[in-house]
Amino acid sequence: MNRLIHAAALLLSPDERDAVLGDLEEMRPSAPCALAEVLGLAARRQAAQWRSPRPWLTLATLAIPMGMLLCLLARRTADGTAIDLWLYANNWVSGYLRQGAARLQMTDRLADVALQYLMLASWSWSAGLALGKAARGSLPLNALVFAALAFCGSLAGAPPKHFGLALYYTARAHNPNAAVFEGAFYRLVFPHLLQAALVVAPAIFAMRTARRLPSAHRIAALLPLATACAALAAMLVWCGLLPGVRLPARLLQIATYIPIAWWLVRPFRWRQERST
Amino acid sequence: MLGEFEYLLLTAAARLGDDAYGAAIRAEIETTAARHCSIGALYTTLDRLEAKGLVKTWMGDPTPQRGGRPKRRVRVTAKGIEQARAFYTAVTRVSRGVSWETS
Repeated sequence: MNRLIHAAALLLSPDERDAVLGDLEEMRPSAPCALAEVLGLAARRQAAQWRSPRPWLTLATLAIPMGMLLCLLARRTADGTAIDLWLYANNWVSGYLRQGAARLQMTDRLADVALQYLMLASWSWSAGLALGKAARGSLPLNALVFAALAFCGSLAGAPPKHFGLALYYTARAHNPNAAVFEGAFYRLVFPHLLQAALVVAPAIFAMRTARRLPSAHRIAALLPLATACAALAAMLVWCGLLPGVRLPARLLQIATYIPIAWWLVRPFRWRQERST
Repeated sequence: MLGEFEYLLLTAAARLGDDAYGAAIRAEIETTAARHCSIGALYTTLDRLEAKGLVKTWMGDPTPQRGGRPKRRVRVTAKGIEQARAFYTAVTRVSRGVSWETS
């Protein structure tokens, strides 16, 4: 229960969190009462945030569309890569490793799967960073809506074909793949695993990063945001949601992977900053 | 014009003087006014009063009895004293000649 109270207190600003937890330590109310007190204050703070148009604008332009879009992309990626994974995991023969051509093909397919996952994680991270930066104080509720949509958005069903081929579940709808989606794992469990691991987790990680970005150094704050925006724009072009915009696939890939490069370089930069 | 809870908070903080901080103000309100005071109401009202310039708050030093966490200390400003006095005068004036005793 104590952990739950401390977790709820994370919704408050650091100074206020300290003051409130200190007050509770002094007053010693029962654990449920203490939790209710913390949640009550957090709810009042959120309510105050949502009186301005900014959180609503963030919700309408980022949290809802990005949550929904990433959910659909994750479902499509899950279905598409499930075929390769099913082929190798459920029909494994040692010949895949012994024969050179088969080994090469397997490496090629699995590398393609890995790149698709990397791309999805990069888009999710970018969406999380943009959301974290735009939402500011209203982040808890905006993040909740984003995560709920990213995880459960597909319950509404697949978008119609004319909405854009990139979002249509081609793999599942294709009859020859029926064997893959016969089992509950690839039909139900696997897509949700992917949605949790490659959409919700990177996005939440990025939201935490966004809160820690230094606001005093403009370039330090703008650089990750610019990379995130480039990746999101690439995602929209990729999905065909920016009609009339045609860019070479290579350029889109570069834009998509920039956040990963930034993310990889960051720990080294921190180490350098610490040592100086 | 102050709200009723704002007045209660200002009065409690003024009575506590140098010992005015979150938990102490809450205890003071609950004891003297015999009403429940949630942390949510307390801190959001404190923020509102600070924004109006009626109180000044700052983070004090951490203390061991609070698990090493600091207090949010409160001091009523001159403007706060003036507003509380105006509220008190208005309530006393408007109450003159009125009896709330039930027969």
